[in-house]
Amino acid sequence: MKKMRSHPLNILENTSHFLILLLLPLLRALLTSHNGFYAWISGAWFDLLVLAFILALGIYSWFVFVFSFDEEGIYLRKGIFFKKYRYLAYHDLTSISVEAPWYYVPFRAVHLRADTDGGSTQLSDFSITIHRDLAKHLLIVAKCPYLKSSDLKRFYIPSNFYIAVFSLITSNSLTGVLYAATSISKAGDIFGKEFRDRIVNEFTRITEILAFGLPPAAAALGYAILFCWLISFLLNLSQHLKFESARRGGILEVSAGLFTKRHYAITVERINFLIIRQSMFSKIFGFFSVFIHCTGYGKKKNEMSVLMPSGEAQELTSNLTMLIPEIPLAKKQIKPKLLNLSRFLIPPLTLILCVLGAGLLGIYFLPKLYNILLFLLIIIEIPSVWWLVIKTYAFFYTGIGTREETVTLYYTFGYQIIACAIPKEKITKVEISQTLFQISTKCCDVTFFTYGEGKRRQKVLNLYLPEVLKLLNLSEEQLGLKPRRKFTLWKEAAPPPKKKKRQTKEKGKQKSNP
Amino acid sequence: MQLKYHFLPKRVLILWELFTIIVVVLLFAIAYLFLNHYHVIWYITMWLIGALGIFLGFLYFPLLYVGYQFALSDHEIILHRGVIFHKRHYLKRDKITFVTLFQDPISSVFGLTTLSVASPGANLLMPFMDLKLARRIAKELSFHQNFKEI
Repeated sequence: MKKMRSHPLNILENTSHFLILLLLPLLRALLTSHNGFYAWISGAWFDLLVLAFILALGIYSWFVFVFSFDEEGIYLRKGIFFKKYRYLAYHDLTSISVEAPWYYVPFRAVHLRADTDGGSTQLSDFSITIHRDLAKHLLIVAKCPYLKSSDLKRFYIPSNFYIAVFSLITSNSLTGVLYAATSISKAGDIFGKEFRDRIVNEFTRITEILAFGLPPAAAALGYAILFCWLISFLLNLSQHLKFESARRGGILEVSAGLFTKRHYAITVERINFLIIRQSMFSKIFGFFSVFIHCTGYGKKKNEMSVLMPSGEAQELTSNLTMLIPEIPLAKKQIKPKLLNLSRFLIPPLTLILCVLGAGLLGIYFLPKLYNILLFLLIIIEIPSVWWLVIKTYAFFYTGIGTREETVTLYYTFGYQIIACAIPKEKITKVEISQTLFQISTKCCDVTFFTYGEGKRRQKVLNLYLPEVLKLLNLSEEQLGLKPRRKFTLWKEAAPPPKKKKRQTKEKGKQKSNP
Repeated sequence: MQLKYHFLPKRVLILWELFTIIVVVLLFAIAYLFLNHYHVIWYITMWLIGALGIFLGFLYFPLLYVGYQFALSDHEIILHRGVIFHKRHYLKRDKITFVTLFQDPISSVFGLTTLSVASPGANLLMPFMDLKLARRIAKELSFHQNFKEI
């Protein structure tokens, strides 16, 4: 097997954090120095020595990272002081991803990552920067065990409108805040504190002009949130434009990205479950998003494991059948009883009343802050009331259905409406929990733990215990277990005793018909 | 043949009761030493410690002991436990990756151990198991996976 090394850009990747912190201030000092080059050297020689040492370490780290691959798997060796040897067989791989950032395009370099169900939950099992053609070749070789020449390729390509809807739904201000704050902070490190202060002052000046009668602080906060949401929306949009998913043989291929192109090859038999997510608004307008869970896909920060970004309800079944027929959705077979409606409504009603109570108490004891408290009360009550609406809908939506191959869960989580289809072989553990208050109505919460790296669980609340045990074949009768001890608070939900048929009529018939 | 539930050994309940007595006595001693005697707070603290002792010794631990039951079927490990939040765990045997037995100095004196069953995505922890029974279960689970004997 031919031993290969990563792309020379890997040297910069290994040393980039230190280079930015050391090199750019040094260069800035050189450019702004009035005393000449030699004067600069006499002051900065130690920093230059450290820089040279870091670069040398980066080069040596690149040199010792060696890998090779054949028809069976990938072999790699890395590390300077603590050496690591690893072998990854293709049949153990769950996903391979190839990412081509726009700034690597002139160098024809790409990031390649391969993952299995074992190993670290944060890092990929194999991650390397290599030449584009080599990555393509490795991808073809790795997919071979799952492809036959007769396999057809089936495509799903959503329109840009659906991708925009998906970006709209999944954007949040927090991501934008983190991105903007990091960028401004790094800009300050590179260009100086004055540059950072200038950005902040300009933003404050613009928000004052566009306040339209609002208090300046509130206007600044509102525009900051809106601006950060816009950044998040644009980032999501650029990540998911040109989205395409295709199925060929045992491989599912997903590619997306406008500037940074990403391509994933996912082994279908390693997909752990499928999730269909909607919000109340997208439900009303008939849109949905489909995600899959497979180790390695969606592992990176701010990366989502999308299968179908967005689409209309009538397209859902046909596209899912085309892409992943192995994980069909089952219709709901059990749902919560009317007795348990209060369990859905109590948490949001409690929150509403607590917020209202706290707000009224605040207004009573602090009359000077009446306007602010009223404003806060309304702002906090709106999401609480919305949660009440979601939980009311959840009562009608929640349930479980099973088919031969899969179990489908219908539940809500926060403000999301979720349907999750799990292949039965991927369910590792089922946990049924009851609190003291749930005993009397035989109500229970069911949690499904699924196969995969790290803990993944789906929880369905407030179902009827006997129905759950019967549907999932977990009753004592079905498991062939003797009933548990009589003295226990937690009585097994035994089926009603079978009534003995009357034998008198039958005996009469027997007498008349010898 | 019908499978049956197994329970914790009786010495576990004795251990828990002893623990309750020790904790309550310690708390009483600390309250007696550091609080002003015959003050309202002293009385409240003493009552609360007493109530805690009664709750743990006469209600919580006995119910915990009675409710802790487990069984091994061909396809699942079934575990029932919990008092305030009762949980039934059904872990599939064909998903088990490895089994571990943990012992500390106190549990080894009483012949007890903690059995941990690991599988991708879920684990099962069974504390206060009888050592011999736990070893048998671990051996059976490992044998089922074609692992070498522990």
